[in-house]
Amino acid sequence: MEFYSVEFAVFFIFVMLVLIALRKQKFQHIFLLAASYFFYWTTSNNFLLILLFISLITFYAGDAIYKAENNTRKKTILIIASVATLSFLGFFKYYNFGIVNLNYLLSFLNFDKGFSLISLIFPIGISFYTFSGLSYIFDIYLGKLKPEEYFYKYALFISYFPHLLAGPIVRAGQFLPQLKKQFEFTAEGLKLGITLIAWGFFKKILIADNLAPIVNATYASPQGSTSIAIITATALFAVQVYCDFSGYIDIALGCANIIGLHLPQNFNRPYLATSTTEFWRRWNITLSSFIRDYVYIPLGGNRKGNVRTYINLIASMMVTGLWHGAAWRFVLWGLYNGILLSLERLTHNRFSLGKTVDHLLETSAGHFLKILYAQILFVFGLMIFRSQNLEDNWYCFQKFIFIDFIFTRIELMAIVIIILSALTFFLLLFNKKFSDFIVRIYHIDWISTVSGLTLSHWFIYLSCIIILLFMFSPSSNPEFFYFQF
Amino acid sequence: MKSYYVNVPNQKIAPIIKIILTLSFAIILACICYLLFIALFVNPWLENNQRELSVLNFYSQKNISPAPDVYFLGTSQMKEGLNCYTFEDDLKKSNISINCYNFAVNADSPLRRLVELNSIISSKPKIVVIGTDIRSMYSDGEIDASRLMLISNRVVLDNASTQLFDAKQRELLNSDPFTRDISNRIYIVSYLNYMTLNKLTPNSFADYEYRNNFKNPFQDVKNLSIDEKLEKIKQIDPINDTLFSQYYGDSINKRALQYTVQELHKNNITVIIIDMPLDPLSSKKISNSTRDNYFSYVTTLGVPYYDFLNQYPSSYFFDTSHMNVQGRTAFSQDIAQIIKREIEK
Repeated sequence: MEFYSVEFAVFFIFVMLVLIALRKQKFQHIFLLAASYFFYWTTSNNFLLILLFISLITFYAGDAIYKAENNTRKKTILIIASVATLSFLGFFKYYNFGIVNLNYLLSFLNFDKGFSLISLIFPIGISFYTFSGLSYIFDIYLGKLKPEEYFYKYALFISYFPHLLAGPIVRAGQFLPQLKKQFEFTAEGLKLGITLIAWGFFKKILIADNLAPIVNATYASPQGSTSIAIITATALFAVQVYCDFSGYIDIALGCANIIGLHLPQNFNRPYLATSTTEFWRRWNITLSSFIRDYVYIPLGGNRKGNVRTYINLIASMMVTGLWHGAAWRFVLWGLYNGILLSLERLTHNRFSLGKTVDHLLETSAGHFLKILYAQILFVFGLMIFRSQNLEDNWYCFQKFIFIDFIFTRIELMAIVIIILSALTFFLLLFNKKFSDFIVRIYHIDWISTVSGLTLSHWFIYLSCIIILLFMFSPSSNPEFFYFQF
Repeated sequence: MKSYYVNVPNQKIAPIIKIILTLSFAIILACICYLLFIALFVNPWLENNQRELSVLNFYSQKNISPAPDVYFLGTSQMKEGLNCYTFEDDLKKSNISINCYNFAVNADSPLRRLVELNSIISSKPKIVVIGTDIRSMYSDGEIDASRLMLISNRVVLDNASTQLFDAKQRELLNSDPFTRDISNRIYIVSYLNYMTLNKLTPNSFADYEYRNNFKNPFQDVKNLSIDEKLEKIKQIDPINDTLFSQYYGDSINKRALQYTVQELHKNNITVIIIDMPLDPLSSKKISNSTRDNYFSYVTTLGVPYYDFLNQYPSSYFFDTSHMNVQGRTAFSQDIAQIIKREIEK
């Protein structure tokens, strides 16, 4: 059951009507849990048992960790529970990857026999709910959280259907306290929820799904493509992956707002980040903070000297890369981002490009340059992320670095227009009025603003989005991109 | 936790019922706007620019001229392989005046062509040349749903031909106008491209060849090298005899072609079958057993047929199955000689 299916609309309306009809809080929770399990069952059938099993392990492990008398016992339970929880993720996501690499190693060592691969179906959302469960036991171990008393409440936290398939990764501390209150089905929640859902559909169906065929066409077989084709496809992929993932998150947040059980925001305009460091604070925020809290800080964070900090940053980003998929290109992508973060940390406030340049970088025009810098680096990294294999990666890398200057007339026209537009915008930013205007726009929270419109103006917003959806949605919609992770 | 629910401006919020009504009205308005756009802009454009419709209009509006008409049907091999101007010029040298129309279309199959059969017969051609491609003949009767949906309720099929389509295909052919308008959504981008980008750089964004009277629907593209052709055969275009052998006995396309030939004969229209040429790199992958089966089947149709499968060298093809300028010229001239003999009979 996809978010954009009629079945989901019927399911969601039914869930809302029953939730409103149920007066008792406990019944509401139990019904929502049953609805979430039903939702997961429609997408993943028997994998529902894994969801249930992970919920049980982490729930009882959390309780056992809390009640354990000494730290050694707490640690032992934590390790056992973590391994048990991660074993599913490891098996479904990394088993074949491990076997391929093991076989490669064995053949390198002249062993004749290798291990055979298994045909596995990946349970959608496993990376997300596994991490939610892990955060629960980690937080209890770290003393940040008390265990939940009731299993049905905890199971609802893990399986709450808006975030179940592709995040955001919710922490127990953010979710469970909300279950202490009666659900609030409010007019403002409904209006904001519909605003978010409409915007999410716009991003997913209208932008991401229409860009997907263009990106796929180039990346299906990049060998032989020109530099401009690869750079364009990668830049469009950056838009596609953002609109796809943040579109899903907006729909999830919208549904959660209508129900009255809220989820954390996962994106904060990442393409306006002025550095890679800032970018990772704005992109997939719940994953980044999970990695920060449960990988980077336990590794020592920045407390063990500069060299160790850089190693920790790189290791954390490589884990982030590996979380995205079982392939060396994801590890390479993590390594690339880790190196960028380390370099930024190394150079931060240590080098000056001269007073004039430093001053320029503090202006709006300078911010624009910094945004360009951060985004070019990110797009370059996405080339590693999107390529199918290391050979394609190498080819695209060469085409990125050694531009071949082969353009069609239209491509050349487009490049000139883009460069002139960027240059004009950059020069206009030196004008104080224009610059102030842009800054004002920059700080507007558009979703809240649209949600706060009068009904007649809000009607125009909805009508425009629905008309565009009717007219320009592609004939078939690919799955949400992050379902594969 | 940063979440939107804490950021709602403190404004007077409309009651829930008003919000739901606003959403409902927005959906209704969007439906009306969408259907108006389709009815006023997209559908009229499709009539003239979408091949499935424009060809039906062409058959029905074509004047019956004193010079006989020759229709060429078939797949992209025929589409790219026959230049009507070369063909007509070659016959003119022998003082034969003839009107040539190349109605071939990408991924054609005898079953798919059945929907045009009545229109073809009504337009009274003298000769119909059917270029057959083993790959489309020896395959199942799958037809792109959008093609059938587009011409729903526009074609007349008798009982015998209706039975050749499966239930799903029949349902698509009988779709109601509302369902068809909903599915025409997929042409909006083509329409907008045509009205905007294609005006700036004609023919860059889409294939609008059917504006030119079905005389030269081909596009000249760069020739592939031998290595590229071999790679294409290996990767994209695998010719696998095991795929064909399952249709050695009977196939829906064999029956559709048989029916087409019968109906054309009944209406005194001469039919000629051409086994379309392939690049030798590709044709050698077709086994003798498949070819024998094909020819024994074509013999039963009782019409003249010509085997062009291995007629031309690799240099006459821009890829593994489609002819380039050189191949097209040679093929058009060779076919002209066949038609000349047929007319002189």
